[in-house]
Formats: sequence, structure tokens, C-alpha cells
Amino acid sequence: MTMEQTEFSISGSVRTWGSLVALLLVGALAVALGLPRSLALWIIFGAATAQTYVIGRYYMRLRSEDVLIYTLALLPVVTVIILAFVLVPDIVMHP
Amino acid sequence: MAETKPEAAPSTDAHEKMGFWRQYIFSIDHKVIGKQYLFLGLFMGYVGVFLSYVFRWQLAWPGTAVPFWGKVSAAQYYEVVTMHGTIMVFFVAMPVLLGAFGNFLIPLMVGARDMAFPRLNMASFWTIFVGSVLLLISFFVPGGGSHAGWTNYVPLSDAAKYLPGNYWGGNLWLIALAIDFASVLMGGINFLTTAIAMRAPGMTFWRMPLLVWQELAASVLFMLSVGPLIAGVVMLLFDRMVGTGFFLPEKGADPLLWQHLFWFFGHPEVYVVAMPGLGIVQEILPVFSRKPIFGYRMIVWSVVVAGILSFTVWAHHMFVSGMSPVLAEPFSVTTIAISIPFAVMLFAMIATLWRGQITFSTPMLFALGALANFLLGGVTGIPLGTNASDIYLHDTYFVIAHFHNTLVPTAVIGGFGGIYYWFPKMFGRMMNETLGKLHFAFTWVGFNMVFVPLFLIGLGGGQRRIYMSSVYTYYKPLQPLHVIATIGLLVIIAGQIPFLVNFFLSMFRGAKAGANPWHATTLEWATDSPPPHENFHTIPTVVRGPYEYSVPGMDQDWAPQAAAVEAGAVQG
Amino acid sequence: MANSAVEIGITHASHDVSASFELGKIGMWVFLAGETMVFGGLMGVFILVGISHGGWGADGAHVNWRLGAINTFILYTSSLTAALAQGAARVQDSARAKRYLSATALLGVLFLVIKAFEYAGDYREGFTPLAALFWSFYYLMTGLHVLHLLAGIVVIFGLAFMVGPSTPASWFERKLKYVCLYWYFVETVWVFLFALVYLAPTAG
Repeated sequence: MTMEQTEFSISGSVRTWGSLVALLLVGALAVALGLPRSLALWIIFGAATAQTYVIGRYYMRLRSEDVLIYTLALLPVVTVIILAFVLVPDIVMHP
Repeated sequence: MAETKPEAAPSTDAHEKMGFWRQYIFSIDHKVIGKQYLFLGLFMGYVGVFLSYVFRWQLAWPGTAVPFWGKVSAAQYYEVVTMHGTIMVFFVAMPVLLGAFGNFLIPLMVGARDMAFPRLNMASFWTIFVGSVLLLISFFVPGGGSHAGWTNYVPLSDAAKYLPGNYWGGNLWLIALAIDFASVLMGGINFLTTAIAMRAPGMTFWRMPLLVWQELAASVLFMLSVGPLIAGVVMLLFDRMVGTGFFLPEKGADPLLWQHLFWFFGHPEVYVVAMPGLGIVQEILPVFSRKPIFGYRMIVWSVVVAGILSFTVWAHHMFVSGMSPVLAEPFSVTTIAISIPFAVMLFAMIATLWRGQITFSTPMLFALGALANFLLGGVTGIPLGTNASDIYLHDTYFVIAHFHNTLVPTAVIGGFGGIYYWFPKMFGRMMNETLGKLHFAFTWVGFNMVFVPLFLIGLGGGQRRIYMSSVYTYYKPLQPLHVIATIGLLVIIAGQIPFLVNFFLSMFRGAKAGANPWHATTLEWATDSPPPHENFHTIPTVVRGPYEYSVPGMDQDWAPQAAAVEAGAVQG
Repeated sequence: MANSAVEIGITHASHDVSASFELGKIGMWVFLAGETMVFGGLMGVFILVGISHGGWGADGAHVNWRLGAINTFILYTSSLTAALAQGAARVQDSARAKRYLSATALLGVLFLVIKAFEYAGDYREGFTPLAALFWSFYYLMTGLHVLHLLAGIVVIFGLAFMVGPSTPASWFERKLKYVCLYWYFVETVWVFLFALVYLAPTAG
């Protein structure tokens, strides 16, 4: 059974917006401050992943959804990772 | 709780007042849309058969003029083989198996009044119609239809300079394909949502007919595999029309990228075709053996496992492409592994027949023929799926014979079986059995006449995609086999005449069919033939599984899925 | 016709799993799953090709990440208004929801305008799709995103147009849910695009 917990209170939505903007600034700062490349990349993609989590949790309400929806959301990601993994020997390593 | 759409479907009265265009052309009724897909798919199928006639004539009698075509030039040869494959896979198999059978049957089989999104359904048909028209138009643009093979490998397909004169043909090919993909994606949204959310009371997932499971699996497989290829198609269109270098070696790109993207989709795609075809056979076998399908749940799990594995096998199409040898062993292992769930399914289907009370009706003949040839196709996949033997067999006629012995039994032979089986439900009339059996004999015997020799040609080293085999001395001993194969194709073509006569004549003059002429248990047979606009006068309540035949202790040898409707029941 | 289970009032819902599923939500998620494969495939290829070149180097250094950051901020604000619209619809305040919805679409239009400026600026500096493989990917990926955003804007305007004083609030709330789901998806795609195509190539 799926009961929709559609909160979407003003304060909740604004707080979500705030965390997204904060994470945006984190990523942008990593570039603006000229941090060393590998550190900057970790920060950038860490921030991106966090933003995706925030959107998925608070806007898309994924946590209150049925396992079916979860599966529909996650399966494509897993599938793309399989594809990318197999492409590495040919595309990345240029044998 | 359950959600309703705010716009109710038109009541029966309003429906009868709809004009010709709304009722038959721009209909949102899944049954009409299913028939539209069927007619479109059959038409494109016969276009594809004509193309095969052209190149098979050239193969049997190289350099001679093909009746109704003329002499085949090299460019034309590659055009017809390319377009034959493209049309058959994308514009025949998918529209017929998914668009026609899926659309017509899924709502009926799960006990719904229509698909979840009827207008999206109509859009999906007209989308593939546009795609089909575009592809046919490409025959007539300067340079003709695409010559680059149905797999459209780069760099040949990447830039006009590599395939001069085929610029617009190649572009239209890519655009038509993208449109086709969009159509099937739209259909998949409907299939999945309808089966998940609109099943009748009592229709649990484990009581759904196997065809529905297969259609759902096919939809999921398509949805998860086509995206990267859509990306690739757009990239290739950019290369061709804008001049970028996504796939061009001279601009630093790896042409193998296209092959990976294509086959990552291409392999699940063949199961998108095979699964509904097998599903049709799985519906027919129990009915004409008066026995439940053997191992219903085992078959479902096999479909799921095969579906998952289908995403891990694609590079077996690329063993000799120059890809990293590191990939060879893992993909061989996964490919051998994927034969297991299919073997399970085939054994289950054979066991269904064991000690059954078999009636060799026309649908049953097609189902049995499909089963036999799919077995042959399946086992011939093993030497292709292991990298060592594939090095010899790749790009030979062995491959062609293998995939025709898997795709044709499911899509064509299974498809025809489905047409004969569900024709009474679709049109309210019975097809003629004698003409049907004649059609079967010519089609099935002819089919084997074509492809058994092709296995032998392949084993003998006969390469595919060769326009004028007579210039090669090694080909000379193999040439008689090509002649036999072409004669087989002519037999198939001849056999289509009784079918077409039967199909159209029966539609208007066939014996009237009752609701359930085959005494079958699934829900589509619990309503009139053809079903009323709202499918069921009263939505049935499902009380048992879909294959309750010859249950011990019962009066009659079949028990319908739905509970009997009581007199005076409320109109649904 | 309405959902079959509802219309005949079946009470033994314990066997009837399908009654609890919402058609539009499932349909939208199936659609989004397919879309994820398209963008995921593109991004995956972009990442792998980038790694194979050891980073995009000089080719990627000129992308206008500041303008991209401003656009990201605009997109985040648009999803805030979308969420606020959903909140208003939940308390049956259709008028307020409609205003927030229109704001979402207008912010989307602002995003597109800034993007157009950005493309024009890139072109003027010679960074066309043919300038380098990085730029080919850049235009393809952001272009595809632009098309999706445009489609979303059109649908939002369409929905807002269809809502009048007599529209049932529950109907609007449901349709809004699906449209906003799509909008959040387009936003998520942008999150990764921004990281991959703007930040990563200019980092370090």
C-alpha cells in the first residue's frame, strides 16, 4: 500500500532549496578557489550526488514510494553502470 | 486508493455516434489500435519479403535480371539487404508482436477496459506509422535507402565520403529508427502501467497469462536498453549532418563505440522480439493440448533471468571486431549461461505437450513449428556465442541461419499462429482451416528449405554480405545451396497467397465465431467476439490461474479464469 | 471508464494489488526510467571518452561555468516554486498553486534565455560544435537538456492554462504531481550536466 506523504510545506521546500544552493556553492567554490584537480573532482561529484539525493528524497518523495517505483528509478542507473564498465577496456584503455 | 482519470471514456451510446475518422482512424480504443498495428506490420512484412526475394534471386543466379526488379547492382544489393533487416526487425516484428498483440490482448487478458493511457496509445501507432513512411520514402531519395547494413556500423555510415550518394538514405534511416524507438517506448509505458495498475479483481501477477509476462519483460528490456542507442543515433546524426567526430577515427574517436552502443541495445532487442513470440506459443500450446502449461512459475523466472542476463551478453556480436580481448571470455560465459533459461522454457513447453490431447489445428501447427525451429536456432547459438568457434563462423551464413531460426519462429511463425488463434476474437469470424494448413505447410517447409542450406553455406565458410559470390572460387561448391534456399523462399511466397485470401475473405465471409471457439480459459475469451467497445459488459472476477485444463474431478476439460457472471449482475 | 476495481466496489482488496497504484505516477516513472537511459548513456560515454583523453584539458577550459552556475541557481529556484505549487495544491489552494506553477515555467524560460546568451558567446569565441570533441558533446548534451526543459515549460503552461475556477482541486493536485516529477527529473539531469560539463573540465 502506498500512502502519499506529500509534505511540501513552505519551510520544508525552502530548506530543500537552501541545501541545494549550498551544495551548488560548494561545487562552484571548488573550481573558483582553484583547488588541486583530484580534490576538486571529488568535491564536485560528491556535491552532485548529494544534490541528487536531496532532490530524490524531498522533491520526488522517493522514500515514501512503493518498491516498484524505487526499482524503476534505480534499474536504469545500474544498467548504465554495467554499460560503462564494459566500455572501459575499449574506450578508456585503447588497446 | 485507486485513482480514476477525470475524463471517463465515452459511453457506448456516445461511441456509436463517433464519426468514421474517430472510430477507425484516430481511435483511442486499444483493439482498433492493435489491428492498425497488425495491418501496418503485415504490409511492411511483405515489403521485407519482397526485398529478400530480390537479394535471394541475386544470390542464387548472380548477375541475372530479377523479375519485377531488373538487374541488381552492388549498391542496390546492399540497399535491399540493409532495408530487409531494418524493416523486419524494427517495422514488422516489434509492431506486430508488441503493437498488435500486446495492444489488443493485454487489457483483455488482465481484465481492463482499455490501456492506461489511450491517447498515448493512439500517438504511439501514428508515430510508428510516420517512421515507417519515412523509411519507405528513403528508397526514393537520391542514392536510395541506407546501404550501411541494418547494424549501420561506423565509419562506413558516419560520413558521406565513406558511402557516397547515400547521404539522405542514411539520415532518414537514423531518423526513422529514432521515431520507431519513441513509438515503442510510448507503448511500453502503456503496457507496464496497465498490467501493474489495472488488473481485474483476483488477477494477481501470478495469475496473468504468460503472454502478458512476456510483453512486460519485452517492454522493460526495451526501455532499459534503447537509451544509449538513442544517444548514439543522435551522435551519429550530428556526425553526418553537423560534421562532428563522435565516431570518426580521424578525429580521435573509437568506431567500436558505435558497435557497443548498438549491440548493448541490439541484444536485448532480439529478446524483445523473441519473448512475445514465445509468449504466443505458450498461450496456444495448453489450449490445443488441453493441459496446463508445464512450470508456469519456472517459465516466468526464466524470462526474468534471461532478461537480466540479456544485458551482459552483447559483445558476443563483436568477438572479431578488434575489441579488447579481455572481453572475450566473460561474454562467452554469459552467453552460454543465457541459453539455460531459454532451455528451461523450451523444456517446459515440450513437457506441456507430453501426454496431452493434441489437436493439430492451424494455430497449433504454427506453434509446434515455432517450437521446433526455435530449438534449432537456440542450439546453433552456442557455437556463435563462444568466442573460439565464432572466429570462424562470424559474418558467415551460419549467423544468418541462426538468427532467422530464432527470430522467424518467434516473430513470424509464432506471429502467424497468433493471428489464426486470435482472429476469431479480433474479427468475430473463423479463418478457414484448409487454407490455414496450406499456408503453414508452404511457410514452414519453405522456411526450412531456405535456412538449412544456409547453415551449411556458413559452415563451408560462405561469407555474408557478398553481392557477387560467383567471383570467388571457394564459393562455387556452395552455390547450389543458394539455389535451393531461393527456391525455398519462392515456396514461402507462394504460401502467402492462401493466407492473404483467407485473412481478408474470412474477415467478411468467415463463419461467425462465438465468444470462445477454442474453449480457452484466459479472460479475452470470456467476452464477446469481437469484444464490445468497453471490453467486458461486467468486469470479471478472477478466481483461478490461466491454464486450468483437464483438472481432475471436473466436468469439462477446462475452467475459465473468471467466475461465472450471475444473472442480473450490475453493468460494469 | 474508471478503474475497474473502483467501479464495481470490490472490497476484497487484499487480493487486488493493482488498486493501490496510481496510473499517472507509474506511467511517469516508466517514462523517466527510459529517459535516464538516454541521458545516462550520453553522460557515461562522455565520462569514458574524457578519461581516455586524460581529461578534456585545454578544450574544456573555456566553458562558461559562472553562467552555468547562475543557471543552476535559477533552475533550483524554479523547482522551489514547483514544490510550493505542490504544497498549495495539497491544501486545495488552486489559485496559489497556479501562480507558483507559472513562476516555475517563467524561471525555465529565463534559464533558456541565459543559455541562448551563453551559446551565442561561445560561438563568438569560436567554440562551435566542430571546435573540439568536448564542444561537440557540450552542445549535444546541453542541447538535449534544453529540449527537455522546453517540453516541460510547454506542458506546465498547458496545465496552468487548463486550470480554471471549476477545475477539481484533487485533479489539479494529481496532474501537478506528475508534471513536477518531470521537472525534478530535468533538474537532476542538469545537476550532473553542470558537474560534468561545467565544473569538472575547469577544475584544477
